[in-house]
Amino acid sequence: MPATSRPRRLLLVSAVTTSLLGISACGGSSTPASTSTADPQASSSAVDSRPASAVVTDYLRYVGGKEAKADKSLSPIGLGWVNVEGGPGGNPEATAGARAAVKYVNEKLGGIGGHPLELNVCTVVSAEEEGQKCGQQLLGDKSVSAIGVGNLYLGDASFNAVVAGKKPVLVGVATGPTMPTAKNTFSTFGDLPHIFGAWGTYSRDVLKAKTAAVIHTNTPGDKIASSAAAKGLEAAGLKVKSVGFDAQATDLIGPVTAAGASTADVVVPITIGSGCVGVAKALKQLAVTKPVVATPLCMSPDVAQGLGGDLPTWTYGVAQTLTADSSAADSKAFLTASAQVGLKQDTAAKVFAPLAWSTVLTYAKIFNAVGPDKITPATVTEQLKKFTGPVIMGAAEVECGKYKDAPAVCNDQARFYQYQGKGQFKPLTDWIRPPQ
Amino acid sequence: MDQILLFAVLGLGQGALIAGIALGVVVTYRGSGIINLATGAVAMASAYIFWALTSGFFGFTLPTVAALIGALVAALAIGVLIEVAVFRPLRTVSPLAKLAASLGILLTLQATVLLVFGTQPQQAPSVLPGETVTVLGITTPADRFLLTGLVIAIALALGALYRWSRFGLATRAASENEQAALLAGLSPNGISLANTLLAALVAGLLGVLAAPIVQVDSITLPLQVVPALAAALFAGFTSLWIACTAGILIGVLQSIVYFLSTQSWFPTDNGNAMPGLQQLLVFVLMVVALYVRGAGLPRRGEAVEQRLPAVPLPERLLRPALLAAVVAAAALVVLPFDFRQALTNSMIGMVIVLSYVVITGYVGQISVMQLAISGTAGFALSHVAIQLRVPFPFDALGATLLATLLGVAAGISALRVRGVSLAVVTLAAALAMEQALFGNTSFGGTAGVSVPPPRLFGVNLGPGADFRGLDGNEPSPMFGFLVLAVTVVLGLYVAHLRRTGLGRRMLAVRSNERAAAAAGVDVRAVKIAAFAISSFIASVAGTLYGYNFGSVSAARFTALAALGLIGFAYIGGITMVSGAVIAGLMSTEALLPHALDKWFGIKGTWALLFGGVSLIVTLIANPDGIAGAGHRRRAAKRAARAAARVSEPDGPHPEGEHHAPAALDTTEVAS
Amino acid sequence: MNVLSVQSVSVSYGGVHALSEVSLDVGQGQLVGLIGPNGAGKTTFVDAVTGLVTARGRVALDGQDLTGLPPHARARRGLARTFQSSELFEDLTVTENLQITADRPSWWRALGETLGRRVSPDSAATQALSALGLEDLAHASAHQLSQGQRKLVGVARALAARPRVVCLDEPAAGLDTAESAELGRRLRAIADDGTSLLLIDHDMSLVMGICDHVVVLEFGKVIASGPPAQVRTDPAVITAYLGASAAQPTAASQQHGGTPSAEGPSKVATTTPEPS
Repeated sequence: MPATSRPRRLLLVSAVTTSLLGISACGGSSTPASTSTADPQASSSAVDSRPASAVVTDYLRYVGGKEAKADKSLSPIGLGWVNVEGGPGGNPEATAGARAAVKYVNEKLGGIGGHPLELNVCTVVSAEEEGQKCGQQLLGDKSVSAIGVGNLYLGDASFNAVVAGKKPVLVGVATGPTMPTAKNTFSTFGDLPHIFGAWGTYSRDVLKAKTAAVIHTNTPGDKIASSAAAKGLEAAGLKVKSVGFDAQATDLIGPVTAAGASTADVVVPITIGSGCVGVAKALKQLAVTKPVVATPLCMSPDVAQGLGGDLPTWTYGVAQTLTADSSAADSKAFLTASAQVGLKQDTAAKVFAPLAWSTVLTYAKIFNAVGPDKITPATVTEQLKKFTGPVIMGAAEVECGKYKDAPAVCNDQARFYQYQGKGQFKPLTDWIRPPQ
Repeated sequence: MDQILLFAVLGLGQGALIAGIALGVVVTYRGSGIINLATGAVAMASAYIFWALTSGFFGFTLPTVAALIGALVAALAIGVLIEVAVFRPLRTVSPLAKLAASLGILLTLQATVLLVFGTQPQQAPSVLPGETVTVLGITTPADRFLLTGLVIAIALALGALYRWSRFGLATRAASENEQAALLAGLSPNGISLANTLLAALVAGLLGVLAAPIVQVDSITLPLQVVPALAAALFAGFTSLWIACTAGILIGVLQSIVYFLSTQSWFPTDNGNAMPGLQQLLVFVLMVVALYVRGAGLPRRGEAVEQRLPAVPLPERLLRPALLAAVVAAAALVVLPFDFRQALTNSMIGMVIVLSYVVITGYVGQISVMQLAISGTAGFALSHVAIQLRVPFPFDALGATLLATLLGVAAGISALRVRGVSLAVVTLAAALAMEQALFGNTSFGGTAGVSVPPPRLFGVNLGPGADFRGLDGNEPSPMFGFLVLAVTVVLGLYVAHLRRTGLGRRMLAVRSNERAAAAAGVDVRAVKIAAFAISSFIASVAGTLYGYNFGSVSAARFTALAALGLIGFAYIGGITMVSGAVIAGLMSTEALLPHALDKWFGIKGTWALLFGGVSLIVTLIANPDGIAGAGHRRRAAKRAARAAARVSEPDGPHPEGEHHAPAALDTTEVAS
Repeated sequence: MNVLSVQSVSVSYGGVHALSEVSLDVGQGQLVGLIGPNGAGKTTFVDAVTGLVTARGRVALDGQDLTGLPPHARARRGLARTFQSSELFEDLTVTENLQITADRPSWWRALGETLGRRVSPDSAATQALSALGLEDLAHASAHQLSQGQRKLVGVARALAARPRVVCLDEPAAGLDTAESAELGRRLRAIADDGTSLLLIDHDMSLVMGICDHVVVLEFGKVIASGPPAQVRTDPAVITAYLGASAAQPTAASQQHGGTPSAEGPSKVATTTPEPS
């Protein structure tokens, strides 16, 4: 029964949360090829300590292309794309962002050495089995030498069982629980569990908190994330009480109370959609005034709708520059460029669209480095292993394989924004690393 | 401590919802003798209509009260439809068939809301005021108390109705002895209709009012019928006030259990609270209710047809099996990769349905937990293969053995439970296993577990094997051959079982347990054997699932998926191996849904709708299923040919033909 | 030693005493009739003896005490019965119905048979069919039979177990005079062959005609017991059947020729409470 056997929305939650990982500030990047025309008008960029070279706004120089259109008479270069969409949950904006990036490459960046780039899309709608089908489809397509992933929180287990490293996989945020350990997989923004260290540093150093209340949905991804959050906070010396709730529950007074939110110094909700709404309502009913530090998964339009119009005025830890951050040059560059190839602005504002854009352009850079005639799974993998950043709208420097238990994760830093209402985000901190 | 009190009060909301649905279940049973699994689904449909009317889904928005009335009217309309289209035509079938029909209603309602309202879960606005009140020092939302009070008021009103009104008297009379009531001039159809409408009204009202505590989707509200059934069991499907009280208490208990699980002293599962405790609680309560109340349900003395779906003797076994095997093997090589995968999925589906053929087709017991046994085998396979490093095929055999033992243990403990009660308690068991066992990370992994491919003497037999089909893609036909071999062997076994003494004894038990015991059949031993065989087959299917996807996750073995498979099994023909073949072709990601999706763009939700409607139609018009109908047609053709051979009264019958020719009627002794 | 020895069997449902201290013996090759007005407790007696209801008292088969044994164990020891409403296994053919009682399964043999080991069919089934003249119906499906045929198949099914004693609960109900006489002849032949029979029926001419010994029940108690001629003229028996005013020496019973049983030959049966 396809519809009734779909997993709960929790996987969606994990997908969204993981997307916001891994913007880290590193000094002294050794990659010279980045842009040189960094936009200096970031008024609060005093807080963003990434070197100008790491803030990518010149895509031409980034991918190493030519300002021309791709030559349609040359053989196309296939790029696999898999995403969850079309069912109860899912992020069609990821595929929209990927298609926009492919169009941009073919129209403005000269394709891949003149060859047009072609996207072979396979979607997972609602069943785990479809991950297997997508894996088989993309493995079977001989013109596809590499696979990009949007938000694969469902079907990732069977997908990875099929692909099993036979072709390289590049993903923005590793949402599906099997992604961080999958073979030949590279996640340029990391995954949720590995950025929660930053929560600990922030809570200890900025908020001066001693106790934390973590409230999370009981999906596998969120359980992993909440364990990581608890560990991250405990590593910073806080006492943590973590409580899970069923995804279908909409009245969360019970879980919020059980987590001790009334008395904790900081509240960390790890949930999505109606969970964010429920937590916000419960906190209001319990008259909790302590800071709430959430993940960007709660920044979606349905949360705003559920709360009567606007997102909750919480602190959000993100691992990428927000498209809503008017001070960020790379976000502005993305919005301008994607608008040029017809990506609707409200789609571009959703989290997974810029992530997909970043992923596809990273592949363009890789393909150009390999050379259009030599693109095979082996050569692409080789080149990906050598990639150390910068990541478009992401980290200045990435180190994949840093974590032995999660070899696909390349990033572990986050940055904190305060939402002030009416679409205004104020950056609160610099890029923060996990506590040493 | 007042924290427990807070959670007890918070649990009142859930309890009121459960109590409301329990009232609906009891009222329906008293009115028509049907245990309506779809009561929660009626609440769901009502909640969706309410949301749609208040959110402008249909293009206009109504104020809350008007939307509430609209939702209740919709609930009544659904009640009428259920009564006329399902309950009335099935007045005289066996109780298990009625239960299966209510399953068809459940699937149809789920599919309908998915198709009409989309797949996104929604949040309906609250009807009851949202302020908080402070009672006994704790601050809680007032709506909890209002909801509980409302449900208690409804229970009292219904009780008064049944005790002091003519309608109530008529219902009570009919529920005790339908035939006598008929003779006394009462109309069972009218009584049933009135009670069904009442039940729909109560369920619909609770569905709308419970919006503050549950989201509106196609799974949550329908599944509330399971704790409601536990409450109804305590009430013996008769007493309204016991059902109401038990429902409220179950909700409160679930909330308290949740609170206890968040305490630091409570055992945790990998840092998080133990999963599935509430479903486990419901299952335990159901077992207690069956023990306290006895496993029998109040009988209605209605006129019941004794005919269950026919179980014909199979004619030739080896020839059709070999033919099918050759065709399937050729298809595995020739078909493109996605159809090859779909064929493999179909065959695994066939194996699962074969386990239903044995336990439900041959012995007449509905066990919803067979799919959960499959899941147990799959997870066990992963642990045995990876942690214990046991090689193929011993890991598969070990996992199968473990899961079979679990199935046999379940069967032994369920010996005194039969019929509808067994179906209900195995449904609760399936839910508990899905949440508590598969959700526990030490057994089910954090998000599923992986399964290494089967290797025999170094040769990979899994989907990634080197031998490729015509198009060179994965999955490899080699794995398909493995699945095909297993399917053919098990199919032959189940078909042959019909011809053996054990098979005859199973059918005797299905037909008449009392007469079977008096005829020397050890009924308990036969049931245990049936559970053992059925669980074995289900376990084998579970290991095949694991190898098929290289991973095992709980999402594949949910209770709702099990119900859906039972539905497809009935449609195909639950008593025949050929019925299992047909059902397998219709199951998830099998040939038929894949072809419909690929060639016509018809997505899975339509398959759900088709399944629900077909199940109802099958039970009404063609209880033998598609395979049974085909068999009857072939037998009739043979009878016609035999009758045409007038000059050879003792002519050779086809091998094993056991259906008497139509000529028998003329030699009937006058009675 | 008697084949079937029932001593002081009593059955009560709540305050209702269905049977009180009923004793009865059936010898080797004997055909014993059990008669009485409706509601006397005849079927309850058979249920008690075969173990389908809980009863006090002692039931012994060939000297072995059957107390505490479940119904199927008693059947396996050689105590067979038929039912008033025939209660055949609808999904099986006539031959298969008989094979149920004829089979003597063990776990090992059953498993082997499912795995394909051939088991030679027992001749008991075919012999039982010919004992009742039902050879033509061997492959008929149970639900295609007429009511009369169903009763006969029920008897054949009991015989196929090669039992020591068969309790027949109204086997002649639904048969006309000629069939009833034919059945009587066959039953007499079966008893003469060595199988003991306990026959319950309302057909007086059948019972009085073929039984060696007759026991009369009324309101759960034995009111008469003896050879047919003696019981026929017993005043207590006549009172029980015809009322006190009819106690005349020559009151040969007016009941003859297939008084239909209460259930009737319809295919629809009312459900009875499930035994717990």
